[in-house]
Amino acid sequence: MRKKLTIHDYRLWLVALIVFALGACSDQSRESAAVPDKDWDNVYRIRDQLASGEGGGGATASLQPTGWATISGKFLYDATSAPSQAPIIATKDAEVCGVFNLRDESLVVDPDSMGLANVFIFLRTPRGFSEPHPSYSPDTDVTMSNKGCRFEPHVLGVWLPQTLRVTNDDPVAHNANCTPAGDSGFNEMLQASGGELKASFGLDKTSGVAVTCTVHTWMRGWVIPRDNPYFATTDAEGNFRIENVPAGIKLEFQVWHERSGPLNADATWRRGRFSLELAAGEERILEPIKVNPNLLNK
Amino acid sequence: MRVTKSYSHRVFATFAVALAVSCIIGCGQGSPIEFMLNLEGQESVEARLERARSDLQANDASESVIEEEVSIRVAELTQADFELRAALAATFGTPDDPFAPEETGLKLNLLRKAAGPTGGKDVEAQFDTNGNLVENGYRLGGLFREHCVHCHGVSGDGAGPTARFLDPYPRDFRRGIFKFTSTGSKQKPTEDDLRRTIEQGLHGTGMQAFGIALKPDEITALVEYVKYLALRGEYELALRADLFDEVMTVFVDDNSIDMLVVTNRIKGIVNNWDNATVTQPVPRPIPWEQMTEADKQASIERGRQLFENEGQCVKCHGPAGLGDGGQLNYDDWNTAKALVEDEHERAEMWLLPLQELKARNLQLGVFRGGRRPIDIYRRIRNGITGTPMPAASILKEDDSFGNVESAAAQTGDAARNDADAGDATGADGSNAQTGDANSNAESGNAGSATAGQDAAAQTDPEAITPQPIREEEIWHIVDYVLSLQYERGFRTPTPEIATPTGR
Repeated sequence: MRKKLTIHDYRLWLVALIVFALGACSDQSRESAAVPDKDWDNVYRIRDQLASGEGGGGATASLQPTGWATISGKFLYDATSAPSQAPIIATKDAEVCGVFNLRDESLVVDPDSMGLANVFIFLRTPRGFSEPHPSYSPDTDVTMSNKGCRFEPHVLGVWLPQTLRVTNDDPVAHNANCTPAGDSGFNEMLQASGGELKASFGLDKTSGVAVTCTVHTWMRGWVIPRDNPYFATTDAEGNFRIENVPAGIKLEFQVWHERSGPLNADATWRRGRFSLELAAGEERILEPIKVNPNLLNK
Repeated sequence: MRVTKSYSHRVFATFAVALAVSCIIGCGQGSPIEFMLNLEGQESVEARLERARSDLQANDASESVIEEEVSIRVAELTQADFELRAALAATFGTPDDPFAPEETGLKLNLLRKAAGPTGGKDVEAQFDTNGNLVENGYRLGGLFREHCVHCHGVSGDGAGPTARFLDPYPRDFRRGIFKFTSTGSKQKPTEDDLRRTIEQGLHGTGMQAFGIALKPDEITALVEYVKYLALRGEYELALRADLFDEVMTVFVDDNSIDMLVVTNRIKGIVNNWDNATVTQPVPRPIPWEQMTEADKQASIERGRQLFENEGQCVKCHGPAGLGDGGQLNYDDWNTAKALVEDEHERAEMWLLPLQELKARNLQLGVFRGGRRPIDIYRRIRNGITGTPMPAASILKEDDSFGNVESAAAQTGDAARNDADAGDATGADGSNAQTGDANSNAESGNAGSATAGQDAAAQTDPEAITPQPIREEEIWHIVDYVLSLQYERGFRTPTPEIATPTGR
């Protein structure tokens, strides 16, 4: 007669042990950083170059622009109606934040013009180009404010030599927490009605770094530190304009949106990038750039 | 019959135990110990290709264009992976043969003392083909793998075999973020900070005190090795972003890695460590020991006010300091995990499951970063790096908004305590209001925003206190926080302060 398997049966425990052991064995996708033996020559080559301080991209001749130009354009959400923005329930300081009619801002489209807001477009620094147009001053501060329990603006570019001010106009205290990889960032309390912190970045990025508030966890803004001042965020109607761009140099622009990361708005773009060259004094207005909604579905 | 049955049982049992044992201890054996790539939270190669494909599909690209693009990406990613491994090995070596470029300032002899297999290992002198000495023999000390690796892992990923049983998880060094430092907000730790953590452990966590078990010079070696793993980890993250996302700028014409990128990245990371400066606290007006009992109580009471109002500590730590005031939060190692909703996807992308972070319960008297007043002072003054705990908003000398405040402060502490209704607040408050009204008009939703201000003013007229805290006032908060733990008899607070809920 076959006995029923009970918890007292040692076989049950053995099976459990094996299952556990197999589980312990199937570790997550861990991948060794080992270099195959045949590739160690390459390793020693890099190590030697590092020690001697030589190597590098070769002496890149400095690039002198032939003049300056302006580029502008418009991003459109390619659909018949604007997507709705989910409401946010203020779970903290509801008596202050609850009245602002807060909405999810990860995708903001103007229902009249279908313009796509908060698209960040920036120039990738051409090799050998260093001096931007004098109209760009490192001494001008840029400001992101806590206003209405949200960050204003939602997406903000910062040129590395500039100082970022984060202010608080709300009658409640906020804090601003920003942790860019490889950079120090900031995390400070901002007193109600007037609190302010100043920060600067040491490392440029090509995608947004989140700014959050510990107290009001729905709050999310983005900063993008850049090593040149040529960038813009599209306004509520999807328009952008960048002035005094170097002319006579092949320029590579990159486009970022919080939903997509690099935004490949056109079939010819790769990694959200496109190239063009402007003539001195030219005022280039790009054709409206239609963005397929599928690109912004997270 | 009976014999056969017991025999088959024994065979089954032996087989099962052998299988289980070999599974548990057998994994990873037979190959040398290597650093692991940091793939946590990284987009996989498959996901990258899929994204490229779906982007092109959304733009109505033809199938042949898509296939061509995918094959280009595959080649680029393969090259990126090759260069990443090579650059990492070139700059930081391997667990059994550590290396550090001059720029890092790391001392190779200390690294070797900490590196290598448990129990140590002698490495013979090396000669070139002509028989000339290239390098003297030396001994690998194996300290890290003997004492640290079960929790912190070979690569310093904080995901050793013991890690998943601990709360909080062991520190993942690879971001170069350390919580308990004597340095400014969001800054790197000093070597003394790391030494203190190793020597004294972290109260209330799995990190034990190694000060008794290890000799001072051994701890020195481990401090160096922790810094080495942190620099290596940060460098890997930076280089991965460069190689996998910025392809164009990283490769030079012959398709090999741009040495400028390699060196600049190292310099940038080392700079952050070199720039960390220790925060020297503003001294207390009167040392605690010299204060009268009434002074002490006054300081604690002032601390309570700051805790609840200006400092906004209650927002997370709760009115009684029980750590129950806030909402769901995560530390920097878990925030990205929390954004991925699917549990299986999360398990594939990260080594350890999601772990929540609670604001500290201050009544327990257990402070991970140390319970000396100076430790608490620094936590409040500079926040805790890697966590949502922010640095206090300190009154700065050049603050025009603060100047009004300091004028008020000169009129004495009594006036300060009533400052809620005082001149300073009045002036600032009205400025802020007019400022807001203007900007609201611009932003177009003036109606609702103004309504919000009014509502706030009506429901809670005295809760809003816009002054930043003067630096020496942090000591009051320290006194209050320490008074929250009941067992500290020599600081027994008065009953009404002892139960802050019944204020």
